[in-house]
Amino acid sequence: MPQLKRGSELHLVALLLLLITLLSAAPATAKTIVVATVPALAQIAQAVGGIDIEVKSLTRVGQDPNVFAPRPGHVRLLTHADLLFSVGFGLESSWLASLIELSGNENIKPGSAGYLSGGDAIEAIGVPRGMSSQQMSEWSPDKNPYWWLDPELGIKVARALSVRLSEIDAVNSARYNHRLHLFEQAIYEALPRWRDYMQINTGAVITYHNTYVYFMQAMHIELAGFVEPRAGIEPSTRHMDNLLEVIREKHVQLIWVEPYNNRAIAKRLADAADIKMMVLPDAVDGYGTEGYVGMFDKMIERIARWSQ
Amino acid sequence: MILLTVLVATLVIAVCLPVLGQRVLERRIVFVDLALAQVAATGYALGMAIDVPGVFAAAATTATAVIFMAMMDEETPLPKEAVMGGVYVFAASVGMVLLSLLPYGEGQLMGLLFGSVLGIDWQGIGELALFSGIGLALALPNHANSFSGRIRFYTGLSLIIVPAIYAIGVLLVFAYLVMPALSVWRRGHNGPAWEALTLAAIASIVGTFAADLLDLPPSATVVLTLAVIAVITGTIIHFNNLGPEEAEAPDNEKEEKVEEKPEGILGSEQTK
Repeated sequence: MPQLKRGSELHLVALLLLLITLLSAAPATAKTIVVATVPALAQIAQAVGGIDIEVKSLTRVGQDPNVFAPRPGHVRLLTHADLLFSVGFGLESSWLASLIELSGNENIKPGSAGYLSGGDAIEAIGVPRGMSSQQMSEWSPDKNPYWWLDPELGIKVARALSVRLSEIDAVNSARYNHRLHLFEQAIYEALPRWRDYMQINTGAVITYHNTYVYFMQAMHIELAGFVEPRAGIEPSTRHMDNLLEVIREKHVQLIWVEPYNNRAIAKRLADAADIKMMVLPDAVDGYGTEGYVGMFDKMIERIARWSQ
Repeated sequence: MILLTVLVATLVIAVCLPVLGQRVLERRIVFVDLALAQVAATGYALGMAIDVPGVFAAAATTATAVIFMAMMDEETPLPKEAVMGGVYVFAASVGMVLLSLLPYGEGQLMGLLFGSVLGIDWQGIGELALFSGIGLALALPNHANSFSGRIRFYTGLSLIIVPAIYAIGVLLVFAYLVMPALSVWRRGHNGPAWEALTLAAIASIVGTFAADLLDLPPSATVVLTLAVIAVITGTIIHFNNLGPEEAEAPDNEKEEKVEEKPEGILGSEQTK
């Protein structure tokens, strides 16, 4: 009899084990869900993850990630996320922390395996734009978050992403690595062409904020100044008149403005100096490598067209 | 060069807004400018949502708001400021919901609501002066407390305020509308218009040059200069009026105390 009892216990254990295996196997077959904070990061994630992951972006093309107002749907997105892929360097500081908190998802908290930000992979440059002085005091003032506009930094972060994805989903590790290689290849192929194009087509440039500093470094474009050196603080008339001087001295031909910024001041400056003002995107619609490379193509094509 | 357009733009509003501000103050509808500007901005966003040119949509929503406000009798027992505040938050919320549905809305609505005096050129100054002229012609002459009379007043008001906020921003418009009129306000009534106008013009000149000299944001510096001049003028007027009239009409004392209140509120707004 005791033997029989032991036999039924064994059966019970086996049944439990089977159940556990079945239950844990179910999510394993589901795709890894990656939530990116901005469209360009979603494209980098798609480039590396391809069909093995599902990617969602919190902000859309044309939205200012500094002042994003999340909705309940965004909280739900994070609840089911396996990896949160953020820009870092304070760009999302006004809204992301509370969003993570609300989602109740412990796996995507900063410091855990399900959280990757640009700050984990690269060093930042410059002064962040679009921050209030209160936010500024909370962040090191020497950090500019717009790294995705430098394709080589995009590659560096994509490498870190590939490693992280391989940790979360080891089965597809080789595939992530392969796609990363293709992503790098696509960018390195295009980079000399972009640089040549910019060298022919543009001289020194004035930008509204310092959003495009990375892009200008990557493409070897000279920065002549900012229309609004401190985000949200109206520039002085003296600063504006100084910029007119700079425009004359450096033969600046273009002022770049982000899609979500007030254009009136930049337009006034451009008109006063008889040069052109153009809106330069910091993201475009599109999938994966094609979308990310397409963003640079579009930026460069637009700059070249406006420089004529 | 840019200094000059800023100076002229602030002088144009220094001429147009204080007189209008006196009409606004005596009707106790100070929030009307914020409400109208917000309704126009929301209209602009609505236009983008339904593919109608933003300016027309803004004009349509503003006209609707004007009709709504004109329906309110001037002797209404309703607190008019509360109605204006209600219109403001309603329009702002509609705008926010619309913006959340529009991927590209944000920047443009911001641009509409928060113009900058640095962004205005000679053509803009001309348009500002033209709209203000038509607006003043409609709003200043006394009107009957009838629906058509009130429509004329609010139409004039919106013709001045909405383009002005679009061109030079909320801060300057609100300040020039309220502060000079408040400064010369005495015994519960409006003071002479020329006094309000003069101090506004002095603030424009001093503030613009001070901002350039000290490398400061022009809008905020001009507003601060205006505030300082308004408080000094207001104090002088206040003490000058505590003379013989006071002894003759002790009943006025009550009104004097009421008069001080809005200035206090204004002061706290400035410190924010």
